[in-house]
Amino acid sequence: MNRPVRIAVILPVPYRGGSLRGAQMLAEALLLGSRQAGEPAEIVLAHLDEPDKYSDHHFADLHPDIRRRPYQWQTLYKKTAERAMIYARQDWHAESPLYLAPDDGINQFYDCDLWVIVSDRLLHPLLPIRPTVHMVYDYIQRYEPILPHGQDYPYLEAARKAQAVMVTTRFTEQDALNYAGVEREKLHKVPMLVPKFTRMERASGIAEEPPYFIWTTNPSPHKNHPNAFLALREYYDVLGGTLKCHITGAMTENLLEAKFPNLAPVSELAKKSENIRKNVLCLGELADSLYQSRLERAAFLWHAGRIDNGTFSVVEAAHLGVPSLSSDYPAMREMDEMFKLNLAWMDPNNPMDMARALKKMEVEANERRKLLPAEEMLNEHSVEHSALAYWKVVRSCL
Amino acid sequence: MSVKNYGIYVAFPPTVDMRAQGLGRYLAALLNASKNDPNVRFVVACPVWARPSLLALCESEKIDPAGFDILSPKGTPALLRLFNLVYGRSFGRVSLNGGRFSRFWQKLKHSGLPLAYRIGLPFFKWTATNTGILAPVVLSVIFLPLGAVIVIGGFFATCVLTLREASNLLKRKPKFLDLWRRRTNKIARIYRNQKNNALLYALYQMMAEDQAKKLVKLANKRADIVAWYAPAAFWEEFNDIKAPKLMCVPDLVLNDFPVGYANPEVSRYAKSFQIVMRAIEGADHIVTYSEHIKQENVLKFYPKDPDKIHVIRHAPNTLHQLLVDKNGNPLSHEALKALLLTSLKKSSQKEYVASLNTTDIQFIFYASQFRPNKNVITLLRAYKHLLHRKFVSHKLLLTGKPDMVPQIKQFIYDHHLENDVLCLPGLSATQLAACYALADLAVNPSLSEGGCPFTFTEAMSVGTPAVMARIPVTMEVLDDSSLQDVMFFDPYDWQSLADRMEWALANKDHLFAIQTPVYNRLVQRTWGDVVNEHIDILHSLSKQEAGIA
Repeated sequence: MNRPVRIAVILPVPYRGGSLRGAQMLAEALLLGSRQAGEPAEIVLAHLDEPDKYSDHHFADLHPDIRRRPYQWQTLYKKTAERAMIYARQDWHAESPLYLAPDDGINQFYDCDLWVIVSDRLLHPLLPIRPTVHMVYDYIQRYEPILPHGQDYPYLEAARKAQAVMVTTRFTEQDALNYAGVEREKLHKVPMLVPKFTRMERASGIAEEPPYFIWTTNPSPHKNHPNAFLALREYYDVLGGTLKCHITGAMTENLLEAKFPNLAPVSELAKKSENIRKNVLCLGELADSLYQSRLERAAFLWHAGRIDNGTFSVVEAAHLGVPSLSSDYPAMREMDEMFKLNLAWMDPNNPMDMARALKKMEVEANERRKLLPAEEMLNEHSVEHSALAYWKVVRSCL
Repeated sequence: MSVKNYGIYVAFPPTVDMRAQGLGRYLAALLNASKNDPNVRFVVACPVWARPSLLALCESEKIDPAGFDILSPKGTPALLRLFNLVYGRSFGRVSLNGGRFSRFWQKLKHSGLPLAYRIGLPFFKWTATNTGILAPVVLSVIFLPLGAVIVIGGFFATCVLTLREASNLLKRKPKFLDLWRRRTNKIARIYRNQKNNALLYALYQMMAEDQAKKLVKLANKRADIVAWYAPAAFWEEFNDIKAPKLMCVPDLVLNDFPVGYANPEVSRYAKSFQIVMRAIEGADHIVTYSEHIKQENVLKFYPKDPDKIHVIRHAPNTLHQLLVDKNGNPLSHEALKALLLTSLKKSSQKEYVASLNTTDIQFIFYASQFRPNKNVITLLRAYKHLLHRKFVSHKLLLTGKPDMVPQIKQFIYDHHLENDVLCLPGLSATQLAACYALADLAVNPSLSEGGCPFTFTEAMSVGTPAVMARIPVTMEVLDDSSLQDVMFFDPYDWQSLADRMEWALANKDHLFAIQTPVYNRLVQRTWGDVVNEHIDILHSLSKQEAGIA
């Protein structure tokens, strides 16, 4: 009995939030792309079997034709790995003492013809029993010391050993070549996948508030909090800023309380600045409808992070007619170019520049609304539009 | 028409109990069915140690051993004799009760005072009353050496205790104590799990290969055996038999489940896999149980003539014939429940079943060993969903050994299912039949089999409907599309399995009614048909060999 090609899209760590949404979009892109190519494939989305992290509602937007399968990582010693490869009739010798195989309790995804790993976060080499493609979004560790020395060697090796590596920006493409050492032939730049924007019913019960801007962030080091808070202090204390700052995002409710080591300077700053304590409101992670309502009422969105692969928060803001002030780094420039967002820019390494940009935006925000792209232009970058590019990369590895 | 002799070649290594092997039961079915054909006589070529297992198989399956011949090399290998002495798997008995020395020791340990009393009292009386010189001589002979042993033993005990005391002071255990403990623990583990000990397995394989070669020599001397059949592809030596040969390739699960079977606890499969590969490569004519295995496991990997790969499907297995009393009447419901209770007492969850005396439990049943291709974890996920989310109150009874697959044991423990998922290894055929009969539903989530699993006919034969995984070998046999819609599920999707089981439990009678005509059709095929088809092929091969058109 001939069955369609089956692809596993595997989340190697318990990603949530934007990364989880990205993985679901990737799975959907492969599903739609295979259909567009006339080779309809079955797609399985694999996530770690951690019920406290993943429940049904996290996958409410998953395409109904995509199957979900929980798994645990199984570690294989060298001899076991070699045995498995012998049984799989593959001529191979183990070079590493340990290998990883995703164990779904069924057949370790051996029923799938190819594995797409979302990111490169593998502590040991993957058992090469199926062709593998990695979807790598960024190499932040090249710019920010978020990992101890040498900890990312397994990640780099994972990308090098894969049959293909997909990236979504020219910036990450250069990092993959020059930092990760991925061979050029294996590297494929594919379009960014943009979430389908759904305008939700306005959340009711939000009282009228003083004008504000929204800063969407999380406690990660590359989000540039020390500089951002220095900028806020400058904005309020020196430049007479009048807008409140509403901070949203996972684990941000305690941003000022130094629960994370990299946020200690922020906490100190907040203690000493009455204006910050008065004007900065930490809201934590909001439900989608509530977030949208707040964003819609904001004067602008502030993206203060120093480096990453770009953030879709500016695209979502544009959908709602809200302009954005963004840190100036390559991935955001690429997004600006792709989506015609007409972002306002600031130097994330210079708190004074950041403060001045905030003050300028306070004045120009309304005008900048007119520079935002039309809804139709934003919708050109839907998953359906970009799906075939993804399928072609995967197809070439089968 | 003269009687034709056909050979069956089975060269299992030592310790294999054919009653516990699927191939063994398949062999039994062939032997049983052949008794009805007066023109056919089978000669079973097997190693010397397999004779008792073969005879035990006959006894278990009610086959008359006089209905076939056995061909074996003479004499037992010396090493095997030593193993038998120590481990008790002696020639003539298939038992796990330990060797003579261990049995003696166990008896001594457990009999305690009564045994000492029984032996000691008469002896004491004799010494107390005997007036001749014999009693003192006997006493001296016994007690002088005994005294010496006590003195010397006491000396060593003192040394050991002193050392231990010294090491406790130094907070270090003497290495030799640890070494001794490790050695005795290792011996105990080997004894408990001989199959999975690499060294023992290697020794067994050496003996098996030697016997296999001897069997080939014996086979080649038997010009009266016109063709040979090997019910498995385990023995590449089979290809050295000069007569026409037919080799069965049941399946290649190692190829289909490479990571699962690469488990180090079953590392013996690595060498077996290569032997099987060579055996298939060298085979001339092959038979499989299904078209799927022929295409996907044989022709896909070996450049063979498709006309030389034959497909002979199983006959169905039924169980109703086991649930009868001495007079041939069906067992009463109470009798079935009594069998169920004895089955439940075999549960690995000893504490839970110790005081269990009720059989008024509803349950779902999956009869299978725990192997990587059996897809037990998916079944457990589905069951957990039914129990905890849908509040389906049934238990799940399984027949595998949870210790053999740690993930299964861990899943049951992690999800607090140990009192609802009961593993009942070692059921007799009658107990198995009773469990099937009393179950509300039989299920088979297996991902891969050589032929259509027996679950359907086994369950239906005793009045229980079944739901099964949608896999190619099953769909080849259960090809009725309306039936497939109601009884199949996607084995890769636990939700699909859960939904199917939930529906089946709510619509048992309806499902059974739909399945009955298909069952009635399937049971028209008998093991006699299977034997005849094998014989037809063997006959055809022998004619080709003889140059007869």
